[in-house]
Order: sequence, then C-alpha cells, then structure tokens
Amino acid sequence: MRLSLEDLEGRSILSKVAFVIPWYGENLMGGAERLCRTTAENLRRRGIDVEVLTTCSKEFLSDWTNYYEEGLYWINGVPVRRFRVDSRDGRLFDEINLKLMNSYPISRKEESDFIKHSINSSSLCNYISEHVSEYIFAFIPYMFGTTFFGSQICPERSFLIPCLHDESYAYLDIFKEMFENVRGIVFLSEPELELAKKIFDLAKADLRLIGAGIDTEVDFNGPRFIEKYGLKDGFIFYVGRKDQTKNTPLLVDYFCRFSDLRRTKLKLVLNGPGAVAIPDSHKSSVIDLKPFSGQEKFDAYSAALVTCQPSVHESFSMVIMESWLCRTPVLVHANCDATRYHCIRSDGGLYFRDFDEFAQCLDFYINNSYARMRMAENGRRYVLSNYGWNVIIPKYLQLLRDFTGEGV
Amino acid sequence: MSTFEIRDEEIDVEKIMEKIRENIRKRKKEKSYSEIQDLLKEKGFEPTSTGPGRGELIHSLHAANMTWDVQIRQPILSYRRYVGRFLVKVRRLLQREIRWTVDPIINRQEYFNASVVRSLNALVEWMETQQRMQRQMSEDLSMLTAEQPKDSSTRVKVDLLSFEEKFRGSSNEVKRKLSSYLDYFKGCRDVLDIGCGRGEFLELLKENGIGGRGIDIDEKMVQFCTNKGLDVFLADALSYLKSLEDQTLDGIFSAQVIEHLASSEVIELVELCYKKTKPGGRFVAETINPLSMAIFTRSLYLDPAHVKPIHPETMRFLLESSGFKDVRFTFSSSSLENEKLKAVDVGLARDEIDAQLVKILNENFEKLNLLLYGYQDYAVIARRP
Repeated sequence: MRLSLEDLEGRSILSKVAFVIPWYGENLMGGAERLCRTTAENLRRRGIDVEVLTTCSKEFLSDWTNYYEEGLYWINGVPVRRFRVDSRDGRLFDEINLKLMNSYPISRKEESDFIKHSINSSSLCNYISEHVSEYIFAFIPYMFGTTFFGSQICPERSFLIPCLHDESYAYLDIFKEMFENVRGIVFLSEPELELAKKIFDLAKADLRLIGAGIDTEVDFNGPRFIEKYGLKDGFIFYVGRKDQTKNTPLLVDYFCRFSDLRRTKLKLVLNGPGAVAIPDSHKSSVIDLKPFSGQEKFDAYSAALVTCQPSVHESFSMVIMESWLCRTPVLVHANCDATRYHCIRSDGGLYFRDFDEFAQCLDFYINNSYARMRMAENGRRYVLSNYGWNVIIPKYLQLLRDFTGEGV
Repeated sequence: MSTFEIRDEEIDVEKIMEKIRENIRKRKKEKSYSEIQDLLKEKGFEPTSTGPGRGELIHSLHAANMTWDVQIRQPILSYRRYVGRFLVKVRRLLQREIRWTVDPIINRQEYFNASVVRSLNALVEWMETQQRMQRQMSEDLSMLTAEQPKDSSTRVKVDLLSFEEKFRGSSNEVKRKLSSYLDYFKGCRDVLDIGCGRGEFLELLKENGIGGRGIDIDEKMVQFCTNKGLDVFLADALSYLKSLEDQTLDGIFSAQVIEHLASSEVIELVELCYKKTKPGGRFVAETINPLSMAIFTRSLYLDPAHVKPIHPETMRFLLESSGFKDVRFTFSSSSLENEKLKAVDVGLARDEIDAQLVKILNENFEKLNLLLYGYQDYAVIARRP
C-alpha cells in the first residue's frame, strides 16, 4: 500500500499504542476481536508502533483457561503479548451471567462478583502498571475483566472501544465509573454514542465517532458459489455465530413460515459456528453449510438475494458491510439501532419488526431486482466512503496525536 | 399476496419501509375475508365450494349436533331367567350409589360439549354470512374495475435495447453520427458518458485513445456494455455524479438523455456537471431539437420515456447560470428532404409579377421548411473555465 503524508505523520506519534483485549488471534470470528486485529494491523502498516496485550485463553467460545504459553507472539506483523489468566469461579459467574442474559436485577455484590470472575489477568495488569508511561492503551470491548481492571490503572492514558449496545450489562453500576473516568471513548456508530450518553455522564471524556475499518478490496464470484452448492433458486444468507443472542432461531422460524406461506423455492443458507434447530419439514430449504473460507464467504454474499442480520445486539456489524461490498443488500432487525441506522443512512437495506414485515421485505427484494441492485450499490458506496481504512486510520491518527500532543 | 414495485424514483429506505407497513395494514384489513378462507382451505374446509371440504364440515357438524348429549338414560333390564331380577336390583343399587360422584363430571362434560357445538354452529353461520358478503363485494369490485378507464401509459415497460435497435439505428450509424463530438474530448483521460446506452460513444473514445466510463439506468444496457469490455456502471446520473469528488472529470458527454428528465432534474444535472468537471473540461449534450416541429410528429412521442424537449436557449441559460462559458450549438440529423415543401420553378412565371409571386412563395416555403422540417437534433457544448 502506498504511503501518504498522513501515514508518515503517524511516525511522529512517539508513544506505543497497546490494544488490550481478552482474546486475540487470526481466525477469531467475534466482532470485537476482528475489529481489534484489523485496526492494529492497519495502524502498524502506517508506521504506528502498535502492540496487543491479551490473555493466554483461546477464544470467547472456550472455557477461558490458559491455552497458549505466556510470552511474545507475532501475528501478521503485530507483536502480541499473552498473559496467563487468573483462576476464577466459573459457576458463580455463569449463574450471574444467566440472570443478566434474562434481564433479572442483580445486587451490587453480584455485580462485583461478575467482573471479579470474568476473564482477568493479574500479570497483564502488572505489565500495564510497570510500563504505563510507554503506551497509550485502547481497551476493547467494555464488559470483561481485562478492560475493567486494566483501564483503571491509568485512565488518563486510556481509551475505550466499548462495542456497546443496549443490553443489561451496559446498565451495571460498576461500568459507570469506568466509562466516566477514561480519557477517550471510540464509538462505532451514532446510535452507540447516543446510547452511551444516555447511560453515562460523559461530560469529561473525549468522545470520538470513528466507526470500524474494513478491507474494501474484496474479490467475489457469486456464480461460482451457486454452481458449487447447487443454489439455483436463490437464497437468503446468514453468516455469524448461530445462537439465541444473535437471533438465529428467530430467523429460521420466520423463514420457515415465509417458505410455507409463499410456497417458494427460496433457501436460507446459514454459515458460522454454534448450532440452531431446523425443523425436519424444512431440512431441504434451510441449509446449514460447514463454515467456509473467507473467499467463499464473499462469493456467498455476492450470490445471495439478500444478507439477513437478525441480531439486535450489534454495535456495528461487519456482516452488513461485507455484504454491501459484495453488492448485496441487507435485511436487519428494526430493534437494533446500529444496523437500522446503517440501513437508513446508506439507503442500502430494509429492517423488520415482526414476521409480517420480514415477509414483506423479502417480497420487496424478490419483486424489485432493480431497486435491490441500487440499494446494494448505495450500501457499497456508503462503506467505501465511511469505513475504508483510508477514512478510519486518519481518525485514529488524529486521536493518538491529540493524546500525545497534550503531554500525557 | 400483494406487493409493490419501485422503479424510477430515488431509493429512500424509510419511504420503502413506510410503504411496506402501509401494505401490511391494508392486508390485515382484508384478512378476515381472504386469509381465514386460505386457512380453512388448508385445513380441508372450503366454504366457497360445494365439494368434499364443505361436505365434511357439514357432516361433522351434524354428527356433533347429534352426539353432544352424553347422558345415558337406558332402562336397566335383564332377560336372564333366574338371576335376572337380582341383577336388575344390584345394577340399580350400583347406579344410585355412583351417581353422586359421576353425575357432576358428566354434567360438566355435557355443558362443555354443548358450548363447543353451539360455537361451531355460530361460526359456520358467520362464515356463510361472510361468504355471501364476500361474493357481493367481489361482484361490486368487478363492476368498479370494469368501469375504471384503462391507463396504459403508466404501465409502459420498454425493452430499451430492442427499442434502440429499431428506432435509433444500428450501432455503426450511431457511431458515425457521434464521431463529430470526439474533437471536444481530445487528450482527455476520464470522460463520463451519461446514459451511455449501447456504448457507441465509449467505443469511439477507446478507439481514439481517450479514457472514458459510462453509466446507464438500464440493466440490459449495462450488461451489454460490460460484455463489450467497457467500463460501465448501473447508476442514475444525479446519484452517480453526487458520489464523485468535485473537479474529477475531464469531460462529460450525454446523447439523447436530457429529454428524459424533469426540468428540476436537468437543472440539478447541469449544476452537478459543472461541479464535477475539471477547469477546462467540456460538457457536451445532444438532444432533440424543439425548433423543428417535426420532432412532435416523430422522435418526441416515439419514445414513451421522453418527458419533454429542452429549448437550446434554456440550455444556454442553465449552463451559463451554473458557471459554464463558451456555450455554443451544433445542429444535426436533417434527413427529412423528401418531406419538405417543394419550391416552385421560377421558369414557370409568365411575367414579372408571376416571378415576384413565386419568389415570395418560395421564401415562405423555406421559412416553413425550416420550422417544420429543420434539424432534428442539436448539441450544446460548453466549457468550464
């Protein structure tokens, strides 16, 4: 990639930048993990001295024990320091977490136990304490022990990339102090920023609406995908973890009802880890493909009639951005502020509140191929002009310059 | 299933969602008539038919009406010769003894059965009323539809590719005609052809070493051009121009496009073209010429997608208002020689007065010919200073 003046200016930022995240790795599917990795790699490419501080735990969907050896690793040109996780009472954590997932009120003591028995690493915190003057710290996402305890060591040199959305965790008292004390907060979308302002008193913090960067140079071949999987009758594409929190069962249910009502040959193609129950009567129309490679994913986006993102817990959604880049419009849940915001701002996608709207939106896409193409084009243009690295990186550079410029 | 189509308007997701919701509200209103019947059909009951579905419903309902009463009031009898009397006494005794526990249950069951059967009877009666109403409404609707005048103009869908082949001439003819505009773009590296159609002008640019890209709102045209290896996008002019950085284009060309736009769109187009052209860049637009009356009997109404012709002086005004300079015109396509009013031969004049009259007559014919059968197209050329 060609260096621009902006890139060279990046070299004037003397402090190192450390992204602090519970899990880090090349193939992790989680939104925060991907955002962290790609941002770190792209900043590093532009001359910023970036490191990642993380734990030895493998991934979110694991038992949060030590999987890797402690030490320094290099992943795609970025130095990654792994620290051992502390022992924890997983059962107590799960009990409280279950209450939170079901929006039951919890006590102050339970809040404190929740974060204490979340994923934590004392050695990571010690490292931060010992090297505090060398770095500017970026903590991502907000709800884990690494962020909670880490960001309190030196809040004036720390900023959060919270990946916040409207869920019970966001309203815990313990997070109030954390959000209100850090020097800066980076938001991925306007609804996320508005939500944060609603919940916390952010008068002192430096709030930045930056968004998430995305690699815009994608290659895709829809016909190749259709040929390989024999999907000639068209399909709706879902990609991501398949579970309740992502609303995958709702999508399967709505699709089955739509399929029965319209007697259509349209298919629903699912792809990603986790599991979802598919009724026997619809085994031929709901196709759960084995997780496939990056290239095949782009081919699938391109081949789909529409990509559906039913999750209501998104602070950004890379999925809809990738779909637009591959020239396919999207269908999202109206109760997710962030994804609905993208659809309205780009004029590149529709949103549903209930089954009737879901069905009508699909009818619209099926019967309006011209509008569908134009919506996809709108979405693509939206991603290119807002979330290409050429747009995102200068914003980060400005943030870092502002942080260092004021003599921290 | 009812749905709607979006064709020509700008995509506005919130407006589409409003239409979708409106559609759902309408469908919910109709639900009592259509979807209940769909449901009944699915379950095997088809109230509109006299076939087996309805038969089964009526039969089952009749059976339910006959059997809802579960009280058994059979007399206790026995025909056994010796023990008969004894058995009758024992059974009566037993019946009396268990009645106080069983009767409340039976009474309750009977009450439940009666309620269900009554509800079913009422439901079937309601269905039949609805069916009669629906039949009446269908008849009324058919009458209303028959009375409605058919407006075919709103349903015109043109296969533009075939249309161009038939009425605009072969690609080679079009290329020959458009080649006269090449001079304005000499040495350019990025010329935008708005409404590039079959890509004739883009081909000319390519053949002459001039860089160019095109846009068109017709999918088939875009596909056609892409297959020819031309750089063409599916987009409408206004949105596409808005998406470009200012002062990035070396020149803008468009042939037979502006007459397809509403006045407000032409104004916006000219303003955007000015913004997006680099200083020194040319704007060239060819369109039908309203100075010739023959366009009204020919090209204007031939293409159902035409909105209205634009007067050359209007174009001059718009271009100059936006900031363009050196506005000038070229006129072309005067192929109506056979239609023109013929001049009277001066040799036929018998004297000087005749000769004078013939001269005046011929001058008038010339004026009329120019008005009626003048140039069919004109191009306006302007430069961004």
